[in-house]
Amino acid sequence: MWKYIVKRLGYFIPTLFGITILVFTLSRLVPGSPVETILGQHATAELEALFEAQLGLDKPIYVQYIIWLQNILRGDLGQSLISNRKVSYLLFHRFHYTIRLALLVTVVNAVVGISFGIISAWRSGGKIDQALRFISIFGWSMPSFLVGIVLIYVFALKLKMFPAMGAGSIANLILPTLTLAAGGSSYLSRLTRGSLLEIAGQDFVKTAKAKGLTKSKIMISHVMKNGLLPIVTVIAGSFRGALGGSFIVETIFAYPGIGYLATQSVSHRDYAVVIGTVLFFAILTCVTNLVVDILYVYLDPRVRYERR
Amino acid sequence: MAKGDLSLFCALVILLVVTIFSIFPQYIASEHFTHVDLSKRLAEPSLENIFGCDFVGRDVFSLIVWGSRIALLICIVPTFIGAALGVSIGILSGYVGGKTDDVIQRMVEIIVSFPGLLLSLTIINILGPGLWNAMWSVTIWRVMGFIRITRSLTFTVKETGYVEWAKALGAGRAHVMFRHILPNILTPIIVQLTFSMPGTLLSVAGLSFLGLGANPPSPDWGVLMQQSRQYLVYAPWAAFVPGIFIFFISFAFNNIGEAFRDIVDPRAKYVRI
Repeated sequence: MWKYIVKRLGYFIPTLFGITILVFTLSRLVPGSPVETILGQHATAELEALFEAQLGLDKPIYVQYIIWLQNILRGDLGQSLISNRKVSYLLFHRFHYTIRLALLVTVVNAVVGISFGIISAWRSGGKIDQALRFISIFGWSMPSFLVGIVLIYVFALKLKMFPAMGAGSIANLILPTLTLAAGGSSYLSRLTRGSLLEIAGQDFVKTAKAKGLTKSKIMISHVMKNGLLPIVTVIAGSFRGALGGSFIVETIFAYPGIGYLATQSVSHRDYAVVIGTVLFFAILTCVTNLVVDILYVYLDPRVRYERR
Repeated sequence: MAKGDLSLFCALVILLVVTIFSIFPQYIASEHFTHVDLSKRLAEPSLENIFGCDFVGRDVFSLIVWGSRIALLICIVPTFIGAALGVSIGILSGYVGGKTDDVIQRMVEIIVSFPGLLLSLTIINILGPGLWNAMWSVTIWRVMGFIRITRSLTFTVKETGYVEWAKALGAGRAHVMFRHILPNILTPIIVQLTFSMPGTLLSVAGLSFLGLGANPPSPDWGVLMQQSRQYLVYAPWAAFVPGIFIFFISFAFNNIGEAFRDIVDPRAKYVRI
């Protein structure tokens, strides 16, 4: 198992570097040079050259990359053009909001989705399964922004039960979570059902049935124990989906997370902040994948004993 | 399987209606989408305006009809281009293997670390907002998805008998790839294509909703939702109806995809324990 973990980490580091290179490339592709942005109207050829030397922009591109990387590692991601705050400050103060929302959505998705998936698999082929299948497709076809504004209209404007924006208390989390959970749990329930049924179709289940075990015993001891393992990967996918959905949902609910920051900065052409948020999300996704892969290996006894 | 049949039927009806809307918008919509009537601002749904009017008095139903062309364009173009590129690269990567495969896989992994919408945001950051920029930004994500699927499908097909037979007869790589492997993996890819369309629509409409996609006064449904959002309290229909239509198309493609998959996938739809 440890061999695998080391190997996996070996994959992780180059991927991380690749991400930084890609983000750096994206940051340099942005139209307009930073020098022009800073100098504005006062730009003359000499001043531009001076600033370029100061910012290190006249050096070859790989040197610029290394300087940029060093800055990142030191925590300097640049400055927001709009709010004049350091990008790292903005990210630092908002990231717990996004994480909070993403985790809550993942938990709700997991609980609701997996339960429905199990029910579907248990009663596969029956009326309940078909009904749940319809509801699932319904749920994951819904655009998140539609669900969001419908929820705002019904619960915030008409019934005045939950706040429509901001982030002061738990009540603020409810509508955004419901918005993302609608799609996520539908998807998760279908995946759970598929995974469980795939296990159930295997030979060892037929053996168990031939041995005379009852359906409940088979489902619980054999099918679920094995079928729920891939679910770990799927829950991680749910977390990634929650992060991805955060852009739209946070914007709708004016929830001060990094997703909202990202969409606002793109609208305002605040390039430094956009690059900062991109880096943040990419690294977070990469780390999540790493954790999940390692966790999966830990949970799957087959891999553990393979090397004996 | 009555429920399944009903869903499929509804799905086909929806797609038919939307297609008709997009072919003949001028005959179906009561007015052009730029027609503004300020006396009817935020009018409630009535016999004259089935879905009411938006904040500048445009008939919402007409807007929907004029926008269906854009919606179908959004569904189809990025998905098909993404599929064409993704499948080609995927087959190449899967069949050739070795260093090429490693390099391509590594690049795909890196790009896939970025949540889809984030990648789109970055590209729009560089290119600027607009419908086509939004579509291209979503295309890249689609390409990655198709590369992965095609690659794993190619692996399952690669070692089969007829591929070896073709090689023994002296077939070149390109020939094997496109005459032997591709036709055999085509069916799951078509299923995946159908499933990708709603995702593409939702992504591009989402970008428009955030103000980063199509520009007003385009009748793109995402833009309509974004504009009408401020008036949600007074005229919810202006924001809901485009969203519901987006949902309809998404639902239709998902249902068709599921039905198609049930037909072609050898695995049983359900298993009796």
